[in-house]
Amino acid sequence: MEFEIIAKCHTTHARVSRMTMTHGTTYLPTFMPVATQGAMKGLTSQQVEALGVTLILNNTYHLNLRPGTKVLDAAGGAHKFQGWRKNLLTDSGGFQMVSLSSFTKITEEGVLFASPYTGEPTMLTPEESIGIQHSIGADIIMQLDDVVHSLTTGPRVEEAMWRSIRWLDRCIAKHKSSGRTDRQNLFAIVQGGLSPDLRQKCLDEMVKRKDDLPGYAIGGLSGGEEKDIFWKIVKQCAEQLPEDRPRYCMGIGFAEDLLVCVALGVDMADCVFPTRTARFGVALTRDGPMNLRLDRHRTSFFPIDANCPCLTCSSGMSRAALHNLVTHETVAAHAITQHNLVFQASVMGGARDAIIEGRFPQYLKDFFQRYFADAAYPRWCVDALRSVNVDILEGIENPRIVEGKGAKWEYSNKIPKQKKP
Amino acid sequence: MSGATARPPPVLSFKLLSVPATPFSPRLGLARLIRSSTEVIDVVTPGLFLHTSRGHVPHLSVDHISLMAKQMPWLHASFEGFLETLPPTPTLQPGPQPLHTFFGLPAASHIISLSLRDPADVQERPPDGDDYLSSMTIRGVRKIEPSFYRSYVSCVQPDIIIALSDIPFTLPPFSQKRMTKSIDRTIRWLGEILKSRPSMEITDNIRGNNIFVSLVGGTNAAARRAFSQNLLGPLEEGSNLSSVRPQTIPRLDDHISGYVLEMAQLRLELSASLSCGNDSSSTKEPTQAINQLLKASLSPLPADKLRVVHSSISPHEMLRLISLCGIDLFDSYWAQKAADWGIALDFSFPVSTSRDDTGPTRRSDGKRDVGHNLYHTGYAFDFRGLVGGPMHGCSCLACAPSFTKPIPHSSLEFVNDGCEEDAPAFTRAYIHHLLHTHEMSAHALLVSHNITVLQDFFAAIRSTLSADAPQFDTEVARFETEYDGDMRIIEEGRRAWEEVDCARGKGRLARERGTI
Repeated sequence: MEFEIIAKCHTTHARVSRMTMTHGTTYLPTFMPVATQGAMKGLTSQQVEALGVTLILNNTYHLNLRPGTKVLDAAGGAHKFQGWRKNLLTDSGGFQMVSLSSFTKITEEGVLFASPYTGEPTMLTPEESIGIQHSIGADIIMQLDDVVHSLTTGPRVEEAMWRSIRWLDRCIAKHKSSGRTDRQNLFAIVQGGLSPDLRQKCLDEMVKRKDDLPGYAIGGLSGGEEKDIFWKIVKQCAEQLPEDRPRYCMGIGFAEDLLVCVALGVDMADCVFPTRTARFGVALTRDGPMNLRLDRHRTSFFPIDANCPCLTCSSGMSRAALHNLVTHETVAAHAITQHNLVFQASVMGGARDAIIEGRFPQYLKDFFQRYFADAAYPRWCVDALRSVNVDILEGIENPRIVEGKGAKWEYSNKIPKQKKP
Repeated sequence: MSGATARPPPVLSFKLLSVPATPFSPRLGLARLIRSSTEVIDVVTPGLFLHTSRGHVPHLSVDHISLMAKQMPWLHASFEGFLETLPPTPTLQPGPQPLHTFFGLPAASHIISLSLRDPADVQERPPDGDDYLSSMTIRGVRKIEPSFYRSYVSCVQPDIIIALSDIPFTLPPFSQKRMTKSIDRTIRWLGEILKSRPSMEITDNIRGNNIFVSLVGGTNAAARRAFSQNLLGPLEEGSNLSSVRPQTIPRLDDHISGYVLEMAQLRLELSASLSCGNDSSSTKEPTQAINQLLKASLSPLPADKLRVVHSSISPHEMLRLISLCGIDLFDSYWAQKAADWGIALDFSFPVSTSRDDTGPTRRSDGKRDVGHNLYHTGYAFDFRGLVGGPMHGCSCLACAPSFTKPIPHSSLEFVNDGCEEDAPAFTRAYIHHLLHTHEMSAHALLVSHNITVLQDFFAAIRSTLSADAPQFDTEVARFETEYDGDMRIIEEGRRAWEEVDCARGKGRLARERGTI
C-alpha cells in the first residue's frame, strides 16, 4: 500500500490522503459502502463504480458461509467473483460471529460458534480468519478481534483487549507467512471498550507493531454508547495512531458522525445505514434524511435533490414516483440506494476539497447549519468539534441544542411521535 | 385536463411489410409512433414490449431501462397500481407527457400503453357492474367508472390506451348471460372512451386515436365472434357524429388501431371449462383450443391492424401464435417472471445444429430446457457466462457489462482514470450465489438477460420470416421437438425461490437450519 498525505486542515485534525493499492487509488477521507454478500444491494458492480465509489466492503463471515472459500478460490477471489475492479476491504468475521450467531464462546484459541446451517460447533481462529480473507483476496483485511458489546463493563473488556492484541500477533504471523503482504494489507483493530485507560494500553501495544501494519481501525464503538464517550474515544485513538497510517473508524455512517470523525482525524468509515435505510424508503440529503414513505411526499413532483448528480435525481425521478414504489418494487430500493451512496460520497468528497482548499471549518459550519436547520444541533457534535477548534455555533443566534444522540429523522406529523429515550 | 397543452396526440401507425397468404399467416410489420417530425419510435413486428408494475420493469433501475430503450422502447403499464389513493398521483403530475415524466421515461425514446387492469393478474376479484369495473389496489377493491378512467387517461396522456373491458374474474365457467353482459358492457365502455377523444373531431386519418380494445368472449368461440362483429357496428347512439356526416356512419372499429388478446385470463377459463368438460372445445388440446378462440375473435376483423398478446407463457406458444394466428406483438412477461424464479434463459432459434454442451441439460424425455435454473447447486462452480457457446453474443447487463465514467466527488478525481470499458461477464456461479443469499442484484442481472434473450429470439423470428417464410414453420416444429414446451424448469425455479425466500425472507440465518 502506498499512503501519502496530500493536505492537512489548518484547524482540525482532518487530512486528505491518497491510498493506492492493487486495485487503484482511493482518496481519503472516504465512506465505504457495504456489499455484505458480494453485491451492493440490488446494484451491479458497474453501477457502484459509476457512483464514484472506489472502495467497498465485503463481510468475511457471510462470504465464508456462502459461497465459501472453495468457490472463491476457484473464482480467483472476490473481486473477480463479483466483477468489482476497485479496492475491497473485508472485516474479520468476528463482529458477525458475536452479533448473529446463536451461541458463541470465546477461547484463547479462537471463536467457537454454532454454524448457522448445521448448528454444529465451529471454531474460527485468527489464522483461519486470515486464511479466509486470503481466499477472498481483499486489498485490506482486518485482524480477528475479540469483540465485546460496547456497553459491556468489567474485566471482560480488558480481557478482550489483551486477547485482541495476542490475536493480532497471530494474524500478523499468519499473514506474513502467506507471502501476500504485497497485495493484501492487514489492519489492526484498536479495542478497549469505553475506557480511555484500556484504549491507551491497546494503542501503545498496537503502535509498537506498526512495521507489520499498513493501517489501523478503531473498533468496539457504534454499539449504542453515549455519543459523548464515542467521540472522545475516537479522538484519543486518532491522535495516538501513527500519522502515516490510514485510520478506519468501524460502523459509522450518519453524515454528522462522519464529519465529526473526519475532523478528529479519521480517514475511513463504513456502515450499512445508507443502503439499508434506502430499502425502507429513506433518502439522505444535506437537509437531513427524507422519509419518502410519508404522505407529504406523495405529490412532490421534483427529485430528491435537484443538484444531486446521481442517476436517480438526474433522470428526474420524482419523490412522488418513489413514494409510489417504495416497499412495493425493488426499483425504488435501487434508485434510493444509488442516491444515498452518491450522497455519502459527496459529503466526503466535499470534505476533501474543503480540507485541500483550507476551508474545512467553514464546510463543517455550513453543513451543520443546513442539516440541522429545522432541528437542533446535537450537543456532542458541538463539543467534539470545539475540541478541534471549530465552533459550529459561531455566529448563530440563539442556537437550539439537543442532548443525547440528536440524530435527525423525518417523522410523520400526523401522529406526534414520542421522542425515543 | 386543462393541462393538455398544445402538443398534438402522437400518431400510431401499423404497416404490414409482407403480404400474408391468409389472415392468420405469420407476418412482418412495422408499428410506428410519430410524436413530432423529429420524434419517431419504431417497433418491428413480430416484436416485444415490456410488462411493468407501477410503471417499472421489476428489478431494472432507470439507468438500465434507458440502456435498453433502443431495443425495447415500448412499455405497458396498468393504472391499478395508482388507485390506492385518489386522485391517482400520476394525474397530478405537471408538465407535458405526465405519464412519461412520472415514470422517468423520456417521451423521445419510449412508448407507453396503458390499461386499467394488469393483464397478467388473474386473481379472483368481485364482478364488475354495469357502470363500473372492479379494480384491485393494495387497499382493496375500488370501483372505477368508465368516466373516471376516461378522465384519468386524458389527464396522464399515455401513447396508447387500452379501453376498459368487462372480463369476469370470478370463478369460471361463466353462463351465457354473463358472456352477453361482458360483450355488451365492453362495447358500451369502448363507445364512451371513444367519445372523449379530441382527435374524433379530426375527420381525416382516424387511426390517430391510438385506442386498443381487448377482444372478449371467453372460451366461447361464438361469443368471441359476436364481440368482434359488434366492433364493426356503428358507434353508440349517444354519438351525434352521425348527424354531422350521415353518409359515412363511423364504426367503432374505425377508431381502433389494435386488438388485444389476454392470454392469462383465457387460459384460466379454458382450464376450468376443460375440467368441466361441458364446452365444445373441451375435446381439443388446449393449445389448439386457444388458436381457435383467437381466430374466432380475429376472423371478422380487418387483418391489417396490430394484434397484441398479453401474458404468453413460453417461446413455444409465442411461435405458435405467430405462425397460426399472425400475432404481431407480445409482452415479455413470462421471461421477466422467469428472472424472478432464478431462471437464466438460454435457447436459440432456429435450433442450433452445432453440438455444444454448455446449454441447458436434456431431460429424460430428450427435451432440452429453455434456460438454467440457477438455484440448482450444480451451478455453484460454473464460472461460465449465462449463455452457451461463444457464438452467443448476448448483450445484456450480465453477459456484456460495461463500466461507465464515474461521478467525481472532489477535485482530485478529475485527474483519475475513469475509463469506460467492457467488463467480464458475470458467471452462473455468481448469480447462483446471489440467489441463495437472497440478493436483489441476481434478479436485476437475470431480468436484463432474459429480456435480451427474448429480443434476440424475436430478431431471429423476423429474419427467418423475411428470408424464407415457408421455412419458418419447419423451424417452429424443430424448436418444439428440441425444447421443453411444458416449461417445467419455471416451476422448479419457482419452488427453489420459495424455499430460499422462506429461509432467508427476514434475513435470519437461524431459520435456515430448519430447511436444510
